[in-house]
Amino acid sequence: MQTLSQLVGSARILVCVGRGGVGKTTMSALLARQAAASGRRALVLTIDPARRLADALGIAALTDEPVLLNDPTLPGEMWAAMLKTDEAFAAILRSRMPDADARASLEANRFYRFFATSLAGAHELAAAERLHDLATCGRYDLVVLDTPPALHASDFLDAPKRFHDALDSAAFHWLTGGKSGTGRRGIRIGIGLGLVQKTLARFTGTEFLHELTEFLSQMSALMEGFKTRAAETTALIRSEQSHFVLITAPASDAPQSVSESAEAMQSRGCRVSALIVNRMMPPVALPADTRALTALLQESGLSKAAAAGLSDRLRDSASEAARFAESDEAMLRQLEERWSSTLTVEAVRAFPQEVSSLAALDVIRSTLFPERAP
Amino acid sequence: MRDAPNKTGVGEPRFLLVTGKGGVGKSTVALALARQASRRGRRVLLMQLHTQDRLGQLFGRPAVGPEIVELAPCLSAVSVTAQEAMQEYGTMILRSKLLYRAVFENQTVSRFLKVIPGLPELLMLGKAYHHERELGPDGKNRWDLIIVDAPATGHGLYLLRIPIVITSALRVGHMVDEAKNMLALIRNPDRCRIELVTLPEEMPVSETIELATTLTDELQLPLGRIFVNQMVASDLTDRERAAVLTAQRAAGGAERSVLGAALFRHERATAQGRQIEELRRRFGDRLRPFPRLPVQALTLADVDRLADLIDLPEKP
Repeated sequence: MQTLSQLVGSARILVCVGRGGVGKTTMSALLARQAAASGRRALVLTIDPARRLADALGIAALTDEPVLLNDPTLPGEMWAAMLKTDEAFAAILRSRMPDADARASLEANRFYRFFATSLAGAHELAAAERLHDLATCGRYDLVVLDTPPALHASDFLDAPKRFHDALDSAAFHWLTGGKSGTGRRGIRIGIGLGLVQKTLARFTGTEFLHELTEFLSQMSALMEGFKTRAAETTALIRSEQSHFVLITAPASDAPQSVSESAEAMQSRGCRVSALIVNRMMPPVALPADTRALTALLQESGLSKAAAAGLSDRLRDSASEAARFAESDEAMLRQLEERWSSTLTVEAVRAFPQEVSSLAALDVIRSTLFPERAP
Repeated sequence: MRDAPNKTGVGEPRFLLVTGKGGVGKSTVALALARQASRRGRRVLLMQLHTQDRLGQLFGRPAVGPEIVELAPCLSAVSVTAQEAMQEYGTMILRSKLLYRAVFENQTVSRFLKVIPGLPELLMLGKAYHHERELGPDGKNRWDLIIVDAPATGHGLYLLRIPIVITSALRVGHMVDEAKNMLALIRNPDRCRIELVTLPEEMPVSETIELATTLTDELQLPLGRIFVNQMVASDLTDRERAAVLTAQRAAGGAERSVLGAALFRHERATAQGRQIEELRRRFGDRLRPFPRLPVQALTLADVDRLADLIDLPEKP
């Protein structure tokens, strides 16, 4: 089992996985920054369409091309890139279609214009390809991937496969009048092509169906390229140099969602190596009574009555904070019991302010990596 | 800008779409809206679109599935998945379950259907639309209010864009007719309102402002209220805060800890206050702040406490 420091120091790819609102983008940036602090060339790649990384890093805009963050305090390099998946997907299609006529015909297709980027799995496919390109281009020692929030953490891994399955399905070949023998497939499906097309057309209109099949058959010509690259990406993500980092916040359903994510990753042959429990409320110690507190407040310039009133309010508010902290702590213990024998489990405390600057990021980094050189 | 909602719900849109980014408490707000109306006797249907069901647990019953179930008087709920919506809708249009099964439930065909872009989303929205039009045995609307708990931002926008894209790209076919009907519903401020949910933090707030602009300017959809979850209040006056800071320097042990907790809370409330100001500049009286309740997991009683706040005028 590797510590978080070791992972950041040796992994080639770190994939950060977690639900929305747990601080995934912040943690991804932080891990890349820590790698840069330990002398590596690290890139954080966010595919969240909401530009959150840009916010977290306090920089105005990120582009598809990695940008080097100018920070002389880092012995290594920290790069950041924002993956615009629609553009990336379009770029992939273009690169796979050297023939200008075919490209023009694809780009004229309404499906391409309106829906290409919304095809099942297109975003994830684009992300996976970009990850592969950047991780193998030789310019970075580590790529930290911030995955988009998904209902299921495994969506990211399954999407390329779903995309392929769908475009590659027998029905698709059959419906598009595929050259691979409609008769045989027709028999397997057990109903006539005419009936299917007629019925589908009642929903979609013949015009829609026509353009759809046109588009899909153009896409299918690109399948081989997609398949090869997807296989390479999958192999890379499953290799010993790639690790998954689960990020969670101490919500009541955290143990269940962490289990689901971890099992989903592991069953897909991925190495889940760390769990970061973020936004833990700091513990609060409660005094037996408020006399000392009242005295302190009085010495600090409040009248006796005002100090007494305030210390009652402070005590109530502190006991509420203590309850939150205890419940977060209980959650953490539960997660540790379940996972600390197989994963590195780290807790990060909540901060009253948000992480919107590099300085704030470094405060958290120093709590996660206390051993780092000053 | 439309007026804030009135108490009776008369003349109010009957179709509310609740959206926001993941993890902001969208489902909680959708349920609070449903409770608020159903406890006043309005017949409410809460529709969960591609979201994880927590309603079952809150009401002490099995997870809500694709069949409409009554959770409480006047409050029914249903979870819609694309596949079930497709079947229900397909059967309705084809007027034959047999034909539907033969074509759509064929394993190979259904695999293909999943890649028809926009079709699953259109059908889920279509099901919601159908319930808005649905009449009861008395010939009146079966539902007084339909609340759609829509998928998180990225996907939610995609969902709302589908009818617009379809009507602009195609001319004929059932999909176009349906898309036109849906567009007529979701663009009409008398019938529909898009309710947004967010958190008082920088990133969710900037995303919400962006989302609202896309909704109103690009998609021309009627914006409703902006619910802000998890608001922390601090009642420290400036003078008290100064005293707490001074006292903390001299304090030790538990006293220091209590004072630290107060400052933590005050600092968070102040940071949230800045975000609320940002939201208020953009949204004015559409804002509905919800307090963070001192519990880890919300119960139905907690949701009802939030529901009670929906129509209260906000304290200045």
